[in-house]
Amino acid sequence: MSEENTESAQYDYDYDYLFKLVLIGDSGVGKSNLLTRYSGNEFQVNSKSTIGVEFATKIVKIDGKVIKAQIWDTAGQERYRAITKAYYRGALGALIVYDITKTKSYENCNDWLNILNSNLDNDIVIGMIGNKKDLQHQRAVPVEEAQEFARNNQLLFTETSALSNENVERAFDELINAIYQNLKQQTGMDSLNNFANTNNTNTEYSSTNTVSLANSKKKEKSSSSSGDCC
Amino acid sequence: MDITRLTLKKTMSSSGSSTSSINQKSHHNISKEQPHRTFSLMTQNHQQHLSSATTSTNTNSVITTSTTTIMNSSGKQKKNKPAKFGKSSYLDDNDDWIANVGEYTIENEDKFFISPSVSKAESEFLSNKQSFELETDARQGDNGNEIRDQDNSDEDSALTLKQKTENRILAQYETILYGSKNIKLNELRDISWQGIPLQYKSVAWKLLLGYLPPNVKRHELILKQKRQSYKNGIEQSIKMNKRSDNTIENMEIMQLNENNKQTWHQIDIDLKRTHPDIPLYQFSSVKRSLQRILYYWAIRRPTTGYVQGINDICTTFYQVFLLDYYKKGHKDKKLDWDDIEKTDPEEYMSQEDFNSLESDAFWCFDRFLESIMDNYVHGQPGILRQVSKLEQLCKRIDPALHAHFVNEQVEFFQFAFRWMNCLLMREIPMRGVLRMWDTYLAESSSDITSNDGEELDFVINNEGDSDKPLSPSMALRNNSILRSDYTSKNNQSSIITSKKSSNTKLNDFHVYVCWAFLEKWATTLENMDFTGIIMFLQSCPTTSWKNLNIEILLSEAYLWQCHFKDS
Repeated sequence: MSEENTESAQYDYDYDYLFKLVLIGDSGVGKSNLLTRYSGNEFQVNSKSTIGVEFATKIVKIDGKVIKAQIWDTAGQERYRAITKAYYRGALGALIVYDITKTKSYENCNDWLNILNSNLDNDIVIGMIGNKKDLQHQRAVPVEEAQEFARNNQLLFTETSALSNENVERAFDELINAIYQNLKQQTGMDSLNNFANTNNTNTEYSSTNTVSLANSKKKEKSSSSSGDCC
Repeated sequence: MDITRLTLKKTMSSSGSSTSSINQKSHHNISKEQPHRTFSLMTQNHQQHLSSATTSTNTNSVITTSTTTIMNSSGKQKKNKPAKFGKSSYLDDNDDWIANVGEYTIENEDKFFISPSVSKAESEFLSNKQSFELETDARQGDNGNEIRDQDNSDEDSALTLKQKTENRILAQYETILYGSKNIKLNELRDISWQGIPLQYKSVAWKLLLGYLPPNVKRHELILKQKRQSYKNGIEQSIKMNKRSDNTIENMEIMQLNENNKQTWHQIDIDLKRTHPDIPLYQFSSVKRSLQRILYYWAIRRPTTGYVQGINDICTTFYQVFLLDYYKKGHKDKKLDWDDIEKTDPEEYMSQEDFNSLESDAFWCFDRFLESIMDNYVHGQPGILRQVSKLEQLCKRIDPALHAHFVNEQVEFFQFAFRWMNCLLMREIPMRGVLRMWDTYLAESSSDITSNDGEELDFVINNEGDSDKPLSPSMALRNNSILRSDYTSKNNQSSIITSKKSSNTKLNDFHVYVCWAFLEKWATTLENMDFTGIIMFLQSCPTTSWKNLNIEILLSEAYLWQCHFKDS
């Protein structure tokens, strides 16, 4: 991911693409902490449970393009699913988070995947994150098993620790990159190998701030297991 | 005072006063329901807003106006307050309560503040003020003398006026709460709207919620029954392991099924992040208490079950009722949130005390939530309604802000969901919330309780509780009965039959509070884009808010409500 670069946004409209992402998964697995770590490089010891949805953004650069990731963090409790589902609309990517010390939260990833698929018309790029990697001594979900699950379902996969800041940026950036590459493929504007200057392709994209994969029938496959890191 | 007269006068510092009054065309009789409630501060800006909104909506309603005259001496008194005066021990948690009385002196016909006829009990109280002070709080003695000395000199008349007002209010609480055998709930509601001093808070809340009946004689019996009932219920649902080290890990649920286990776990992980900034909620004694209350509540209310966010709501009752026990254990100390929030209740409470505290908090929490139940049932229709109402208000009152939101594709739902779900508890510091709820409970009290002397609402089967069900007349009076009967035969031990109207008053008022809250940031928000707006509203800058800010917010909300209620 050497082509990527992150920095904070100077101007709110100063970006080429806007990618909407959602963070889902069981309650208490660390979704909000992953987001505060990624967007502000902080770990909030005093974080409270998420009610409904919360929101943060992050600017990422790929191929010299500025991508603004708009990330919606959702409440994990089942009661809020009806509410949070509304936020899946328009999302280009999703991260399903589980807690490596809680088997149940891992098992529920399948449910989350189904919920995503049944609420989105289009295929989107999905990543799976096993969080709380710092709690190795309490590990309940073997890496291999989760990797296998991810591979079978064509998901990106990373184990992270929001607390010790391990792999957090990587997990998000990979998802964003996958969306970007996916987009390039579909639109046929650029090949995956061409990381060169894309000035000549700018016009078509910059006319709109929001990129949609509305016509996508294709699932992101090329990088399905590239995120394995454990 | 049947027709409310409300003249808002803002006195600029000590010299000349600029008076402005809002005249509106409305005949809905505010005063009948809520006769003497508000001391309000209105800025020029608000008045413009209000008047333009009124004209633009062209309502034929609203004419009679006004009520209370307010003087704002711009906070100077607070600063000049002599150090020796310090905090009055019988007052609220911090200076603000005092400051309010000083800064917003009500100087007119409002009976509440300057009552022409002092009741017998009240005059007795006033004449025995010193002994009362000595009784209630040893520390008060010296301060009291100093205050009286000041009374006799003309040097600081504003200060003495402030003190007089405080005394008058305290005397009124004494009269209402302890002056007769049958407490007049209407009077309590009126006075509570303006904030309840700490030493009366616990009992006032219980009365406002109808947990304690107006008939004082019955208090002891009711409390005994309720506490026994709660104790039995807990014993049937939660088992303490032998090693009683009072941790949550040491408790187990009795009816093991997937659903209950899930609920228990959810509450557990939420309590670990409930008020992380307040030490009180880090004590395992408190966590254990809340765990039991919330779990027991969830299994008794299967149609809602546990919903994230109600843990916050539960803490208000717990913390306020804790006052009683703290007071008992610290007779030589003044009541102060600072100390209460830092002290492990286990240091001054017995197991029996914990049971009583939990029980009171549980029943009041239950009563309160029952009245806003459709905020928490599946799909949360109550919240959706309120969010939509908030948006409508914004559209009417501040079309520019609304247009900006639309333009930036900000949906009200995105930020206001939490405002409704947690009743702004995530937006406002806890102490402000505890002040705000005096008003909320006063506002909703007539929904929750019936008329004076009439008690209603729980029918608890299988636990020997004998409260009366909702009376037919009460049922008729309420247009919208939200009826929820839980009659699962498999769940005999936890059946509650409840029949009550949805608490429209609270939800309705809360929307206006939310509007007043949103309107505070309107200018800032209008210069922000989507990201800025959402990020800002996710963490509004209220950490330094004191009671004064809350009271201004509530007063503004009340005025908005008066103007837009029926239009």
